[in-house]
Amino acid sequence: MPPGTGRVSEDVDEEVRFHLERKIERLMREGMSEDQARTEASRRFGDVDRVKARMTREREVGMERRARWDHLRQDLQYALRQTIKNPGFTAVTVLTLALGIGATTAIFSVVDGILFRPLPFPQPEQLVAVWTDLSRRGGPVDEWMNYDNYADLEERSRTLQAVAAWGGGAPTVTGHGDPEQIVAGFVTQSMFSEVLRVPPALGRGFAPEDDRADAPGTVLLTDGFWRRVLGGDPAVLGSGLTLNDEPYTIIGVLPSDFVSPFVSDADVWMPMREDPSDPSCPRGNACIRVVGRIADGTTLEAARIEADDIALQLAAEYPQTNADDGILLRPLQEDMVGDAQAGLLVLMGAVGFVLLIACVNVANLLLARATTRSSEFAVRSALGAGRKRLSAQLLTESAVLALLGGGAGLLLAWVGTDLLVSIAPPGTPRVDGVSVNGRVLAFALGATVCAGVLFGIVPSLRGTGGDLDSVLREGGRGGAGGMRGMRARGALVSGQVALALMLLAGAGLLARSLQNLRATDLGYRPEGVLTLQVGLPSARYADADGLRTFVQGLDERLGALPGVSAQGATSWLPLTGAGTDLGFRIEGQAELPPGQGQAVWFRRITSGYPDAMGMRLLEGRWITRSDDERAPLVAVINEAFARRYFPDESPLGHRLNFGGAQDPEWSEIVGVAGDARYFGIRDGSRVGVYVPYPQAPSRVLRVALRSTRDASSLAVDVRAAVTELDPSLAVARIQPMETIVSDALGPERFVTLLLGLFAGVALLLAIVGLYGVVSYGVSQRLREMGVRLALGAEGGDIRGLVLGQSLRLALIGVVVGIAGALVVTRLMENLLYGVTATDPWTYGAVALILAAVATIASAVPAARAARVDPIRVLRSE
Amino acid sequence: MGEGSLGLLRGTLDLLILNALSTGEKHGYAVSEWIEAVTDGSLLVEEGTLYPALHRLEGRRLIAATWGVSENNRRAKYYALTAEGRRHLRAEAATWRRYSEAVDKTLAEGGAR
Repeated sequence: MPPGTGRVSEDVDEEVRFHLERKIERLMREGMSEDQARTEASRRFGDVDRVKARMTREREVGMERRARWDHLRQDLQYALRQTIKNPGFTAVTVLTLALGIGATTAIFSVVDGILFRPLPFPQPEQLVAVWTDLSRRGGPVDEWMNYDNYADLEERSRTLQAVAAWGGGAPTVTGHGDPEQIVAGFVTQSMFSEVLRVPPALGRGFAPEDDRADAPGTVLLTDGFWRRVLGGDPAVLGSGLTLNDEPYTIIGVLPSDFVSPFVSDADVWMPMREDPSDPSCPRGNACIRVVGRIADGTTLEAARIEADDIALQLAAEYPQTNADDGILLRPLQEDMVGDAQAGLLVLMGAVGFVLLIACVNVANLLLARATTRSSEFAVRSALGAGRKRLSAQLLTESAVLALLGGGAGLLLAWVGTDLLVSIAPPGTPRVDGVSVNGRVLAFALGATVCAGVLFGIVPSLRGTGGDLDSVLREGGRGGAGGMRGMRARGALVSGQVALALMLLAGAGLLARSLQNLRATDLGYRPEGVLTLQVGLPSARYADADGLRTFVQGLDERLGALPGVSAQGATSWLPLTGAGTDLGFRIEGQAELPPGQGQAVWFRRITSGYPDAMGMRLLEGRWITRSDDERAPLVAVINEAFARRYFPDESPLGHRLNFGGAQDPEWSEIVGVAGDARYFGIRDGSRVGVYVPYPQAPSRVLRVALRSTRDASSLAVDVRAAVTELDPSLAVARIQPMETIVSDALGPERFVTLLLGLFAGVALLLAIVGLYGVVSYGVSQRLREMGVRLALGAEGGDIRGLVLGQSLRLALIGVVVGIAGALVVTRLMENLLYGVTATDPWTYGAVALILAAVATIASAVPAARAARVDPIRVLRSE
Repeated sequence: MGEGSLGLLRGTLDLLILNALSTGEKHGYAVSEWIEAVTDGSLLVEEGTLYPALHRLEGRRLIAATWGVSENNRRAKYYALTAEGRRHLRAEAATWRRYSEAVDKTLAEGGAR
């Protein structure tokens, strides 16, 4: 029977009686007899018993409702008091939650934004990158395409509804302030209309007739270029833009939110205007890149089968160039992320680990607290508080903590995501537009809060399960349940240490790799080298003589600058781009069967370039000033070339041909250069060749200057020297070679930094967990310590006891962690450089760090245990 | 139910009670008399149903009850609107008006006219 039911029924009776009496009085006043009035009043009132029953029920409902509100208010007040009364506990729990939620959400948001966020185009899953697959002849699976193969694919494919090609260039704009070298993307006309499906925001897109070889030049502007250079004026539509001294008509402006999946820094876009009957990139070459859109209702598998089929047709029709070539289709999103993927996936794994550690910590903290309070709950339950009431109170307390921690975590997630985006290395694909991922935030919040609630409530309720007697007799020390809880917490702490060790090991291996990469001998010395780029427009530098004259003039002027000890020019600097590979033959070596040609990377250099870059010569001589257009053709091969094609003899004196069977021009090998890291710091041994610039001049020059001067003052002089030679030329990409090298390591540094941060967070959380459990254990055993001390134990013995127990927990964690790390780090093997996934030094160092940290974390409570005053402890019992 | 008097739509009883109390505290009998007088008896309220409703409103803290002494010196339970009850009444009355206007308008159009 609910309390107060007796009163309720009396009240109800009295209220109804009052009503009926008044009604009868009134009816009698209106002329009814008393009997009539009584009948009528009762008729109008309805079934008295039913009304009373309903009144009683309404009262009860109302009272319960009030009680619930009162309880909630009490619980909240109590929870807030608890929160304030235990600032240490509150701070550690809130910090754990904040780190767990904030750090994991921030990192996951970045990874998700780069890897899994769909491309911002209609039906992005239909977009594929198209590559030439050279794997059957020992080449890469993803070589660039050529125009002929692209045109054939476009014509024959039914599973691809549209195909478009792209390439990049760096034309110079004149007529708008100083001449400026900008970035241009070249596309075939269907790129924006049919493949990406991005309509221009202003004007029109490219039409088929714009893409004909004899069409007048047209250009589409990006929103950024339009605003920056043309002031965002809509009237520029239809007006002209001078690029490389040639006139182009502005036909449209792309939307402001358009981010190209390739040439993403392009300022303008232009049609390729290839002549299909005489393309500049014919069969057998690799100079354009291709993107396609799979037809509606068709699958990637079907498109791949058809692409294989088309590749076979082409191989049969053009055996000279296409034998053994495949066509590879890869989803564009996957293609763009490329190399970043492995590192990012490792980070995702780390996110899971840290979240797990945070959950364990929250669980541990609440578990410890619930156990200390088991006597409080036992007493309260003895005083009549129901199980429901107690769990409601615990729930409220957990909710208050969760709210505080969640709020802090939310803040950290926002700040952290922005921070990570801002420190992402240049060129990280798709990093623009990364934002906090709501789903992840919800998940991290849910996971940590659930862990807290679960571990906060369950054990304390078990403590209230009727065994009041034993709990109270233990003097509020938790008794058997306490021991059980202690063991559970110990296991959790060991698990935490294991997880932290795995993360630390991963971070350590990456750090060692980064260190190795930094220390790698590049084959050139980037220190003190300033680089820049100059493009020579064909309108004014129409022939090779013009190019040679300019380069010679530039060389003289740069060499005369104060503080410059060496200067040179090349077609491509290391680590800045792929350039074009050339097929070649070696004189006297057997003619290879068609389609099995060998390729070599190819750099044109001036005579000063090797000195400016600090490159090594292994044999013979470098290219000299006298290797000009009138002298015999010469080439310097690299070490990899010599090793591969001249393993048993000196390559000097042998001759190479880069032009195919009909080409009568042979270049003599005059030297062998040391290998240089041209395509990435990890990649050292591709076959390459250097030829004299005057014998093969090119339009885009990359210049290297070695000097002891400050880069910015030197840059001013260099600009002046170029302007003196030709005031309409733009100098672009002035940057120290060291910056180029450092940028090339950007992704590695980013991943290492993130994993390092994560490992730090994990270590911090593990220390907090260990410290919490040890100091809790000490506080539970003060009496035991007191007895031991009273019986003659020394402070040192006690300290050793506590330290020994906590180090045992840490040691179990270290052993388990090493075993786990050996398994897990195998997944990141291809991220490592110069270090194996089982590197004993890294593991040793990480284990030592954890042991040291564990000792420090336990030293404080151990010292407290040793300082216990036996008399006071024993008396307080 | 007699011809010419209307049954109550669900939820309207609460509104009537709150409105009855808006002019000052009343006991249950006075509330029933007020409703009868104001509506000229055209709304038929089975008087008994008034009391569970009063208690429900009390449970929701829209009205508060005190035991007092009635006009003829008998103990009676008096109900008065709480601040929340007053807010609730205003909101419900506005909703009711909008609702009835809308129904009126539709009835003015279709075949029910």
